[in-house]
Order: sequence, then structure tokens, then C-alpha cells
Amino acid sequence: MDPNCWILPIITFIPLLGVLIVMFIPKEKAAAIKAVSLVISLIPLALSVWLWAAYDRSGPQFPNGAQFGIKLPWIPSLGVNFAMGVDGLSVPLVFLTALLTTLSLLYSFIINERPKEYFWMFLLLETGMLGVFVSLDFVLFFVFWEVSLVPMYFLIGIWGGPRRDYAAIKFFLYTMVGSMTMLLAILAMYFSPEVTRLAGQHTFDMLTIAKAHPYASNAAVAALVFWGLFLGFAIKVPMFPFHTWLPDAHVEAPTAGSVILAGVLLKMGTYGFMRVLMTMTPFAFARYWWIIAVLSLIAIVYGALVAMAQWDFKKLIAYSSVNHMGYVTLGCAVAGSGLLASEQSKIIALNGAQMQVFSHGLLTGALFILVGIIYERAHTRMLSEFGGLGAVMPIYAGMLSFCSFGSLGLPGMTGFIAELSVLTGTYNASPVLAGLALIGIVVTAAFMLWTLQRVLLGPINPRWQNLPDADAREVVSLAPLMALTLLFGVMPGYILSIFNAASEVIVGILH
Amino acid sequence: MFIGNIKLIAPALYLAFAAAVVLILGVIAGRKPDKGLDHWLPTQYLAPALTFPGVVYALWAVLKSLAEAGETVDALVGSELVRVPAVALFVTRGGHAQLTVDPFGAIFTLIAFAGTLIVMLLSLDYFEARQPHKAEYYSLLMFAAAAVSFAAVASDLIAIYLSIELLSLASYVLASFVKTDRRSGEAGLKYFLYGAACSAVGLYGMSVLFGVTGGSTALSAIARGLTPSAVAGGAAWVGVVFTLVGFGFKLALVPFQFWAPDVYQGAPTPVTAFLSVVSKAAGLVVLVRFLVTAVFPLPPEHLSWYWILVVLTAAAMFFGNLVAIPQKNIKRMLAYSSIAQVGYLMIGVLSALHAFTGEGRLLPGLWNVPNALVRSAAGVVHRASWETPWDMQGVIVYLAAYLFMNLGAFAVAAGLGRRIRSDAIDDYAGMIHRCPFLAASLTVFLISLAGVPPTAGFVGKLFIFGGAIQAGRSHPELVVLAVLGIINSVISAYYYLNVVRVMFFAPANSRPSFKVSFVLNLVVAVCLVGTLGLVFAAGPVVDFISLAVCSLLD
Amino acid sequence: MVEHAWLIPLLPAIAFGLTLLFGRRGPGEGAYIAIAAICTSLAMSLIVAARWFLAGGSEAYHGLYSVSVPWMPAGSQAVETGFCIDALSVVMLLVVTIVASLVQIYSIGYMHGDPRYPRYFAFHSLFAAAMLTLVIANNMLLMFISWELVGLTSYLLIGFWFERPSAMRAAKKAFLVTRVGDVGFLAGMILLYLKTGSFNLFGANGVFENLSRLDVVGPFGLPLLAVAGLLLFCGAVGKSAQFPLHVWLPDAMEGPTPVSALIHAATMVAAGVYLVARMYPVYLADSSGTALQVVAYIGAFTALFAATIGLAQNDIKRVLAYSTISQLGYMIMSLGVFGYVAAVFHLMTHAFFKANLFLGAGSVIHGTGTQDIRDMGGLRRKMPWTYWTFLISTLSLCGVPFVTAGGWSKEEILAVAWHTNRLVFAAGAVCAFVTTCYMFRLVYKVFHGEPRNKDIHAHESPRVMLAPLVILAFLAISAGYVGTPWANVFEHNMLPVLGHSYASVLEHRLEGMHHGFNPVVFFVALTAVALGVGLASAIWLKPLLRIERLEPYLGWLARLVENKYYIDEIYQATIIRGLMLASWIAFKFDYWVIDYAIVNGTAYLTRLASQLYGWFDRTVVDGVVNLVGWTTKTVGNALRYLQTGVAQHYVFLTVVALIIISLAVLAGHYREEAWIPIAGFYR
Repeated sequence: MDPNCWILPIITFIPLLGVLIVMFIPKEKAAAIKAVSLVISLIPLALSVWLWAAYDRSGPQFPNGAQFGIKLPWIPSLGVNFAMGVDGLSVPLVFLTALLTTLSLLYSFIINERPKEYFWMFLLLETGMLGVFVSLDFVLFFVFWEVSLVPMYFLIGIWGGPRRDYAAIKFFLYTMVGSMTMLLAILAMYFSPEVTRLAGQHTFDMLTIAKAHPYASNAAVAALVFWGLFLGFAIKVPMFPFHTWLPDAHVEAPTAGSVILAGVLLKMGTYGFMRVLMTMTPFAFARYWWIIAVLSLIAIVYGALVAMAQWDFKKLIAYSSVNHMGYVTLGCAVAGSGLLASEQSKIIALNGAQMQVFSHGLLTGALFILVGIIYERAHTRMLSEFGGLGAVMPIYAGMLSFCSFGSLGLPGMTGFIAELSVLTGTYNASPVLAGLALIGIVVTAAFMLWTLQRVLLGPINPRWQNLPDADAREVVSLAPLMALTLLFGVMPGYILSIFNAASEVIVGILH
Repeated sequence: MFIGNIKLIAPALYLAFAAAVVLILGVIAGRKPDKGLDHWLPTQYLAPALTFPGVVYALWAVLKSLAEAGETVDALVGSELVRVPAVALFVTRGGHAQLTVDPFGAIFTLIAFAGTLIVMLLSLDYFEARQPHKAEYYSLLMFAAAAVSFAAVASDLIAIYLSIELLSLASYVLASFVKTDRRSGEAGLKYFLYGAACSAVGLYGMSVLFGVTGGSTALSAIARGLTPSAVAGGAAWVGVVFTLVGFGFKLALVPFQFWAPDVYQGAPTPVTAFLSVVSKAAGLVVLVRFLVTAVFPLPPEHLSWYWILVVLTAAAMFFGNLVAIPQKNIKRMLAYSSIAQVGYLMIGVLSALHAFTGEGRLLPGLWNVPNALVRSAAGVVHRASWETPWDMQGVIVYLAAYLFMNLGAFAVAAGLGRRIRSDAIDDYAGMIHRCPFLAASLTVFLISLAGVPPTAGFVGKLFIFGGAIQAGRSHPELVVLAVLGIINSVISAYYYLNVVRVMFFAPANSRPSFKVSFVLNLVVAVCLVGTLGLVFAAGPVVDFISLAVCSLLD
Repeated sequence: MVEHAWLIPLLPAIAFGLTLLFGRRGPGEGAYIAIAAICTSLAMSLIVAARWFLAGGSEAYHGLYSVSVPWMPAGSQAVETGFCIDALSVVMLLVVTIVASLVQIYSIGYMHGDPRYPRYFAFHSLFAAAMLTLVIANNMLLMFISWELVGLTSYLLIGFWFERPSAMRAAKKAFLVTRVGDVGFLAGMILLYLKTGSFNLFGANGVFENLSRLDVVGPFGLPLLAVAGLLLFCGAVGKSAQFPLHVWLPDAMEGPTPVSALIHAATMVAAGVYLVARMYPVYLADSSGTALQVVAYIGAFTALFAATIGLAQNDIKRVLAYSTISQLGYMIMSLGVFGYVAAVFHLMTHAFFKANLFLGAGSVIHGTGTQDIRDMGGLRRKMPWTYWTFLISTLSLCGVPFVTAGGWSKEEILAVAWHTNRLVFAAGAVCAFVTTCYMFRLVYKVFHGEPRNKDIHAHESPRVMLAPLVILAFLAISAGYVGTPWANVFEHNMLPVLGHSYASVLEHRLEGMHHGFNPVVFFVALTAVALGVGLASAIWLKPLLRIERLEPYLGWLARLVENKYYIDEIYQATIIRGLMLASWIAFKFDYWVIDYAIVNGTAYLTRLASQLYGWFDRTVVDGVVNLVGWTTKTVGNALRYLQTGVAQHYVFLTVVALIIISLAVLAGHYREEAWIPIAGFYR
């Protein structure tokens, strides 16, 4: 067995170990709890950096194989294994998860209400999220998928805003609908004759299922499976019209919760699109790609329009997530489309979708922290009450401007590479779709700039005359995100070469 | 009449004997409470002490009956089908067994005993203060457990009826055990009246079946007797339906659930826990045996009762979950919730039925009966080596999960109810601050009941829905049931989480925190380990259960 | 040196970082870092230019220096990035570095004492970096990236005094309006990439060598090449403030005046012209010429349209802004009529004299504290340096032949138009006339006559501001001599930029054109200038003509022009209102329909169902039960002692249920088909 095969279980379960450690610290020692949690979260971060470095870009990609794979029997008679492995799709996401968790924990040092529960739940959440991205067995995948749901429910419900009860339960139930249909679809794939023919038995092994193309010969059942999976992932993404849990959850969640929600949890949906939907039901995907594309397009334009009408800063960013995730799903739809568009352009589209996933994780995470910073000082998020903060908080203003411009797709940052790639792929598939998506670019720029104007520019409201600028802890929480945005925006090759290998295989399935 | 190897039902006999010992000792000691015999041999400790070997014995019996498959045990792990021979006891003329001892029944025995032991421990906490008639209480629990154990092996209408009646009688008394509480008495009386009626209906149905099928009470004989000509008059179906009422009552299957909320709320909480898990296990096992052995191997045109069960399954889930939503009392809420849980179990049972008769699958060679009614036209039916039956395993896995999570939930409800003197959900506000361990545990149990991983409830649902999907390839109504099942999972999550919300989200209030007894912590911890551990130990557990299920198949 | 040309944009980029982070503590509060960087870039540009032109001859004609490195993978291929040096980029490098360094030096004086002084120089450095990248990029992707970055710096600098609501609105408007055009650029770029398989412009696999792949009919019956050309032109329309996207540029005058001089007069706004020039093969390859015609007419219209507005403005910077729009239209127009070389030539000369005019205006504003020309007058005595440099550049802008740079370039444009499109030529001539009118109106109102506002005590600006004025004034005269009709060095070097095949296409188009001095064009140009000066003098210098008398007849026209043809108002009423309305509708839809009606509605219905079930459980069940209880009581049932009267009622209900189920089963049994339709499935 590969000596490195234990790296993924270690990365995944170190936070769980942290949960146990934190549980044994008396709740009065809040500082110790915070410090210990932060230090523990650094371990998966460091290991994920190592993973990135050690990852072989020309190595096997899902579903042909996976790197750092480990497979131990779990329920052997049912074909359930403890199987983990990574490929180009998941390596950056593992890193993103570890990074955002660490930064969120750092930012969360301001939490003084029930810190012990907060920090161990956060670490539990990290295990769930990491597990989703490294699982190669559907039962394991589903377990982690749901494990990440529960702590977030508590994070929103306990440390959330005034309507937290409503937001928490809405988040939980809405996403549970999706995960339950996903479960049925997974079971249907499990029992498909193609899988059993290939494996010689029923199996939940994702590699095998992806290779087998369940129900490839039975379009009707394949469609059912496809839509079952689709609903699960689309709610998580969230795609229009399944998105309304998102603004509520974001607005009510504590800052770090929003960061994780936007930065990682949504990515589980798009990860599902790429890992599961496109590889396991490619033919149904190729048949229904246009529905996804149209919904994505609506999400892009409609998300931007709705964002523009918001007066709550946080809700605005939440709706901008709907808009941004639209590019991801659009890229996926185009890449998996049944059109005879060039393979090259499909790969570019999928690269763009992955880049957008990463980029949105960095930038929206940063934007939520920025909203948190201002909310914590002013105790309001109403855009109409701000204005002119650029004069009193220059560092904050710089960071907010940076992230906003990144978010609206300014070249030189990751978002541009993502949007460019997605649009290139879309253009090839359907110029009309691309043309409509371009409208979204303008509207996105419009509401982002308008927001900047309402917060930072104009005459200063005397109420905020003495607002302190961002402090060191806040800058440290944000700096890595901004640095990576810039780094991968200027040198996208470093990360795109990882994505590219995965995209080639996924697009190659249909081509 | 041939008396077979009586050792095979020794666990049940042991527990019945132990119950008698407890009863007698209690009667002797009860003359001088707090002195003499009761002082150095208190019944409340003696009873669990005597039950524990029963559990071990039951476990051993299961393993032993599995081991009789000999060298093939290992082969199963490699997904090979192993047929474990069942042993027939009290074989009547014509070779029909009255009691059938097989691993399938043995597992129900194990579940019943384990559940009873947990309930006893819970009672220790619940009746911590002076409890009158405690010997009777504990011995009744043990008798009831023994009855379940008998029901688990009964393959004859008379045996089934007797074991169910024994269980029922014990339950009626237990439900009304707190004589000082008016509601407890009322619960017992209602339960009794309702149970008596249902039992009468069931008995009537059995007698009809007995008559129609040619004068035999053995299930296998009934299966043989239900020929097309025998059922032509329709009376047989009335018999089947009436019999099902008798079982449905134990199971609290809609529409025979009316008693459940009132009784669950009124009875002492440990008894409620017992009724909701152990008593249900008895109803389930006789239902499965009756359906699989006697009724299901019938010509397909006579399956309208099957559709009735499909409809009732859906109705149970919706009724239980929807009515649970507005409940303010946790015991009543859990009562409705358990009505819904029966719906999930029934999905498993219905998919299992197809596993035993579906074309292209397994031949029902039932309970050593040489031949059964087979629908396959081809005559040669084989089972691919990789085909694992999810369905019946699902029922057992779900029941095992249910044992831990539901008992756990009731244990917490009992422990908290006794201390805060309320069962109202609203009074649980801020419980995470007052009693963190119990509140956190209750959260795990409720999340498990909702079927969210990584809990036993998820494993159970995985199996139940997996079985439905598997059978659904040829029987789409099961896919529909699975979809209704997931809708209900979401609905149920709403009211389960409502309790969590009350306990966690409410700000810390000034009400004092409290500590609970060691034994309650122990009970909750055991349930917690079971609820969380099933996910990790799923491999061996499922292999174990698979073997047991295979015994049903041969 | 040529191979290290990538250092030219890199130095200001580094200066940007340093100034932004440590500016306050740096030399000259960061200004010297920025100026040192840009001056080094200027020196390097000069060396590059010298090397390039000295290499001359065959190398200059056939080759261009172009380097690419892989940038990001795309499937099995890689998208490359790199830079190139040819005559066009050399000219642009020189223009940008010269103007930028002069403007930055000027800013030392102009921005003195501003609280965000270091940041100002940081943004300037960023602009220089982006702009210099734009002009040496050898691929569309890098062009687009730097294109957007100059837009960003424009936004930052227009909104530099963001406390002023008008400034912040202008900044936002500038970014958004240009972005509308950029979307077209993006689309055109993607189209070219998809069809030619490369973002690179040059080389065997580059865009220009593979344009034939686009030689098919695209949407609306247009050739795909024309579509690509028009899409790219959208970017130019936005950036170069052509109609109908010109509205941002006048508002952009809210920025500090040196910014207006550098970005919104000399360099960035000319980027649109540069873009079309750089992508000129795309237009030349389109044999139908559709795209170029659109370019020509948009340019000509904009030139005239903006010039007329310039006549009626009273803000010194706004007059110059409309003049810039008009002159950019001139260049665009020139490109549209195959005046490729003339357009680039005019771009260069315009950069110098327009920068000078703006800096002069800045000097005036600095000296008087106002921008309103109605408050000025008679400044030529108080600000002689400013006056003379301003006048020189005005003459250059008006295109006075022989003595000014603008004269040479304008005359060249008119010469090409004379040959290819007389309508455009006429528009150009009229525009030259109008330009002279409004410029001399400006000069007269600002510098001549008597001071109209006695509260303003004007003074000459410091030397650090005057020195750039002088240098630029010199360039406004001398820069034209590289492209005189007799010895057109400029054209000689510029044509090869297109490459052999496209240069010959261009030459073919201009076949028969009189190369060299064209007396007709010269005469028309001179007449336009003379008429313009005469008319302006008659109205504003010596009040011979009293235009107030025309008020009753032409007042509506005056108001129309004064209000810039109400274009802003139309946009406000249609596009902006429309967008806000759409946004509002989408939000309400989201709130009420999707979230409230559907999502919460589902939850509500579930709760309602639960209430109904619960009600049924309580009312109907208990009701029937009570009915039975009442009945049983009345008949004196034996179970009457049971006070609750409930248990037996449950039994009653069970019996009812049992009867129903039995009947159903029996019904199923007695029917041929099972009673539930899908039961037939079992057969």
C-alpha cells in the first residue's frame, strides 16, 4: 500500500480529534479553546499544502483512478468501503476548505458566547466538508455530506442573527430534501445492472459506478437518477429556483458561518455536479444540459438583478453568490453538453467552472469577513446608513475594493479567468447563451460598484466618524485570500494545470 | 406431537423462569419492605442482574444457530449465499412446525431482551424513590420479554396468539402501573379495552383461516391450504385482514394506532419505551412470519390486501409525522413519531415480501416446508451470487437502530421528565445548559430518528430505502413509497429539530442545572454508543444480520 | 534592450506597490518613486525606439519582435502570453511614457497638500503599468486584461476625491459605461479565439494568419469577420467615448485635472483607437468592408456631434472633454476610411497637444480656483506661460497647417477621406471648422478681454507645473514633422506593422491616392480654420455678431446643445430606470413568488395539513366518538361507568376501519381486475 495513503484520512479526521480535545477543555478557558482549535486547524491546512505539492498533475484522474487512494472494507457484503482519494477536482478544494476554516477560526476569536460549543462544532464541520471532497465511496460521501449539515444548523441557530430559528431550520430542511433525493438516486445507481456487471457485485464505489455509466441503456431510469442527483446538488449550489434558503442562511449566520457556507458548502454542490453528475450520468447530462444552462443563465442575470435591489450588505453578497455560482453551473452544463462543440472549448468551460469555484470561495469568503468587520463596528448592515467610510477606514476600504473588483471579474484576479473560460466555452456551445451571460457581467459590475459607492464613497456620515480601521487580526484573516486571488489571477497556470487534467478526463467521457 | 430440542428455546424459557423467581422472591420479601430479604437482595437490582445473562444467552443462541451453518459462515462474508437450516419444534402432523427456531427469530429475541434490559435500567432511575410492587413490575417486564421471544419463533397461529396475549396482558398491567397517577390507570384501561377488541378480531380472523384452509393452524399449512379454490369465496381474505388487525394493533399501524398516543403519554415513561420498541418488535416479527410464510406465496390476482398494506404504509408515515408536528408534549410527540417509524419499517417489510417471491430471485422454501406455492413459470429460479437481500435486513437493521435511538430518546425524556416535573417540550428550553449530556444525547437520538448520518437511523433508512429501490425495479410502487418516505424524513426532521432548537437555541436562562443518576447516564450512554456505533460497526452487524435473514429464505 | 521591453510596464507596477504600501514614508511622499519609475520607463522606451528604428530597413519591414510564454493550460494546448515590439507599440510607448512622466511631474505642484497624495501617485503608476502593458501586448488576452486595468485606474482616479458625490458617481459611470463596450471586446476576442484557435495575434498560428477561417457568413447575414470587427469596435466605442457610449467622458472631468490630461485626453481614451489599429487586419480581411463603414460613420458622427456640444459648454474642462471626444471621433473616422497611418499619427499629435491643453486648463484652475469660463477673462497677462502654451496647442488642435503638429495629422486624415469617402471628408472639414470655433471661444473667454469676476485673483502656476507645459507645447508643434507629406517617415514605419499581406491590402484600397502634398485638402483645411477663427473672433473677441439676437429663433437649438442633446437624460429614463425596475421586479418576484409562495407555501401547507390531521384527530375522531358515546350512554350501555368514554370509541373507529378495509379487499377479490389500477402491473 502506498505509504502516503493515510494522508487523506489524517487530513479529514484531525479536526475530529480536535473536537475531542476541545471537549475536554473546561468551557471557562475560552482563550485556550480558541488557540487550540486554531492550532489544530493548521494541521490539515499544512497537510493540504503538502498534498497540493505532492500531487502528481499527470497522475490518474477520476474516474480512471485517484491519487493518495485508500480503500478499507467497511460493510463488505454490501460493497461499502472506506474509500478515499483525490484528483485534480478535489485537491484545490481540500486546500480551500482547510484554508477557509483556519481563517474563519481566526476571525471567530471575537466569539464570546458559548465559545466551546462554537469551536468544536466548527472543527466537526471541517471534518464533514473535507470528507465530502476526498470520499470515493458513496455511503462515505453521503455521511460526510450530511455531517457538514448538522454543525452548520447549530452555527446558524445559536450564533445567528434575529431570525436565526427560521433560517436554520429552512437551511436544514431545504438541503435535506436535496440530500434525500440524492440518496435515492445513489441507491438506484448502486442497484444498476451496469455497475454489478462491471464490478461483479453491488458496490458504492464511486470509481466503479462512474466507469460503469449506470443505466446507460435505460434512458428513462437514467433520467430519474439524473434528476434525483441534480436536485440534491442544485439545492446545495444553489441554483435558481432552489436558492431562497441561501440569503436567509447567509444573513442570519455568524460571519465565519457565512464564510464557510459560501466558501465551501456551496462548493459541495458544484463538486457534485462535476464529480457525480457529469461522470456518472453523462448521457442524461448531455441530453438535459440545456435545462441546466438556462437555469444557470437565469441565476446569473436574475441573481445580479436581485442583488442590486438589496439594502442589506450581507444579503447582497449572498445574492451575488447565486450570480457567481451560475457561472459554475453554466460551465458544467456547457462542458457536459451533447453538442458537437469542440472538446477544447468544453475543457476550457469546465476549467473555468472549477476556477470560479475556487475564486468564489476566496473572494466571497473575504467579502463576508469584510461585511462582518463593518457589522461588528457599526451594528448595522444597511447600505443606506453607510457612506464615506473610505476616508476613515482606508485599509478596510482598500480590502473591500479589492475584493469587490475581484468579485466583478476584474482581470488580474481569479474571477476573470473563470468568467472568461466559462464564457469561451459557452460561446462555442451557444452564442446566444453567451451573449445573455454577458449582460450579467455588466449588471454584476453595476451592483458591485454601487455597493462600493454606498459604503465607501461620498460624504462621511458623522455617526461613523470614529470607526476604527481594520485591525491586525482582521487583516491577517483576509490577506491570504486576497493574495491567492491575485496570485492565481496573474499566474493561473499553476492552479489551472491541476483543474485541466481533471477536466480533460471528464469531458473525454462524452467525447 | 413431537417434542424437539427444547434447548433451542432456552433463552425464552430462562427468562420466564427468572421472572417467576423474581416474582416469588418479591412476594416473600415484600411482606417486610426495607428489611430482610429485600434489603440484601432488592428486586430492582435482582431483575436486571437476572436479565443480563438472558441477553448474553440470547446472543449466544443467535451465534449458535448461525454457527450451525458451519463452515459456510465465512463464505457469506464473501457475498455467498448461505442457507442456514432452521430447526422445527413441535412439529404437527403433516410436518408443519409450531415453533421454528431460526436465527431470524433469535435476533428478535436478542433485540427484545436487550431492549428489556435497557428499560429495566431506566426504571431503576425512574422509580428511584420507593416503588410499591416492584417485584411484580420487573417480573412482568421479564414475562413480556419472554413472550416476545416466543412470538419470534412462533410459526403457528395458536402459538402466535398465545405469545401475543401473554405480551399484551403484561403490557396492560405495566401501562397502568403507577396506581396513584390517574392518567396511568386510564392508559392501562384504554389499552386493555382496545387490545381486547383487537385480539378478539384477530382471533376471529385466525379461526376463519383455520376453517378455510382445511383445519390447520400452522402457517406453512395455511400457505398450502390457500389454494385458488379455497380463496374463491372471499372468506379467506376476511380472515387474513382480521388476523392482520391483531398484529397491526401491536405494531400501532394506522388505522389501528388510536390507542398509542394516549397510552404512550399516560403510561410510566419506561413502560412507554418498552411498548414503543420491544412490544413493536413482537408485532413486527409475527407480521413478517405470517405474511412471508402463510399469505404471500399466493396467486397474484389475490393480492389486493397487499395494496391495502401499501396504502396503510404511506398513511402511517404521513399521519404520524404530520400529527407529531403540533405536539407540545414530548412523549406524545414521540408516540406519533413512532407511528410514523412503523411506516418506514413497513416499507422494509413490503420490499422484503418481493425478495422472497419475486421472479428471477429467490424461491421461497419456507421453514423447512418442502414445497410452497411458487409463481415462477419457468420453474428454475436462481439467485445471482451478488444479489444481497436488502429488504429484510433493512427491517432488522432499522429495528436495531430504532431500539437504541428510540429507547435513548425515551430514556432522556424519562430522566428529564422526572426531574423537571414536566414533559412539555417548551420546558426543555435551555436544557443544554442545565443538563448538557442528556440534551446532547437527545439531540443525537432525534437526529438519528430523522435519519441523518452518522447515526444508526441513517443506516436503517439506507437499508429501508435501498430495499425499496431494489424491489422497485420490478415493483414501482415501492419507489413511490421510498419517495414518500424521504418526504416524510424531511417533515419529521422539522419536529425533531424543534426539540433541538428549544434545547439549544434558547438563551441560557436562570433555571438551575442538575446532575442525573449514574444508571440513567449509563442507559443513555449505551444508547448513544449504539446509535453512533452502528455506522462504524455496520460491516459485522450487517453480516450477522444477513446470515439471520438467509435463514428465512430456506 | 528590445527583449527586455517587458520591464517598461513592470517598473511602474513595482512603483505602484511600493508607493501604495510605503508611500507616506517614501521620498517625496512617494511621488519620487513613481516619477523615477516612469522616467526610467521613458528612458527605456527611448532606447527601445532607437534600437527599433535604427535596426530599420528590412528587419523593420518584415519582422517584429514578439515573445510568448505559456500562461495557462486549455485542454491539450496552452494559452500563451507575451509582448511584441513594432512601430505601433513603439509610438504608443513613447506617447504614454512622455505624457505620463510630464503629467506626474506636473502633479507634484498640482496635487500639493492633498491628504491622499501618495495614493494619487500609486494609482498613476498603476495606470502607467497597465497602459504600457496594453501597448506592448502581443495577444488579445493580455490586451483585454490591461484594457480592464486601465479602466480600473480610471475609476480610481476619477473618484479620487470620492467625498464629492459627483466624483463618485462619475467614477462609477465611467467604469460601467466602458464595461458595456468591453463586453463587446470580450465577445469579439472569444469569437476570434474560438475560430482561429489562438489569442496570439502574430505568428503562423496567430489570429492574423488564420483570419480566413472567419470568412463565412455569420448572424444577420453579416460576414463573421465583420461581426468580430464590430464586437471589437464596441470596446473602442466604450473606451474612446464614441457615440453612443460617450457620456462618461465629460463626467470624468470630476477627477483631478492632471488625471484628465493623462488618462482622459492623451492615453487611455486613445486606447480604443489603438485597439482598432492593432486589430486592423481583422477589418482589412473583411472584404465587404461593413465593419469599417460602421467605424467611419460612428467616428464622423461623433466628431461632429461632440464638437457642437463643445460650443455651448461653460466648464473649461468640459469643453476640452467634448473636444477630446470629437478628436477621438476624428481618429476613428480616419480608421474607417483606411486612414490607418493617419489615425495613429493623429493619436500621437493629439496626445501631446491635448495633454498640454488640459494641463494648461489645470494651471488656469490652479491659478483661479474656478472651472467656469464665465468667471474668467483677461488671464493672458497674469498667466503668460500658460497662455502661450495653451494657444500653441489650440492652434495645433485646430490644425493650422505647416506650423503645428495637429495640422499635419489632420490634413493627412482629410487627404485619405478625400480619396475614399467624400461624405466623411465633408464631415471632417465641418468638424475642423467647429473645432476652431469652440477652441477660440475658449481662448477668448479665458485669456482675453477683462476679468469678469473681480473676486478671483489669478496667479501663474509654479515652475514644476510650467515646465511640462513648455515641453508639451514644443511637442505640439514639432511632433508633426515626422509625418509631413514630403518625407513621411511615420508612414514608412507604420505600414509594415500590418504585415506584408495586409499592408498590400491597404495599399490596394488606397490605390491611386495622391501621396504627398494635396492642395485641395490643404485649401479646405486652411479655409475651415480661417473661417472658424474669424467667426469666433467676430462673436467672442470683438462683438460684431450678437448671437443673443438669434435667441427667439434658435434658442431651442442652443438649449439642445447645451444639454448635450439630452443623451444622459434619455439613458437615465430608459436604461438606468429600466435596470432598476428589472432589479426591483426580480427582487419582489424572488421574495413573494419563489420564497414566500413556493418555499414557505410548501412549509405552510405541510403545517396546515398537520393542523388538519390534528384537528381531524381531535374533532372528527373524538366527535364520532362522542356521538357513539352519547348513543351508548342513551341506550344504557354496560360500559357506561367508563367516564372518559373514549376507549370504546377507539374500538368503534377501528371496527369501522376494519369494515372498510375488508370491503375493499373483498371488492378487489370479486373483480376481475384488482381494484387499484396499478395492481394490474403484477400480471
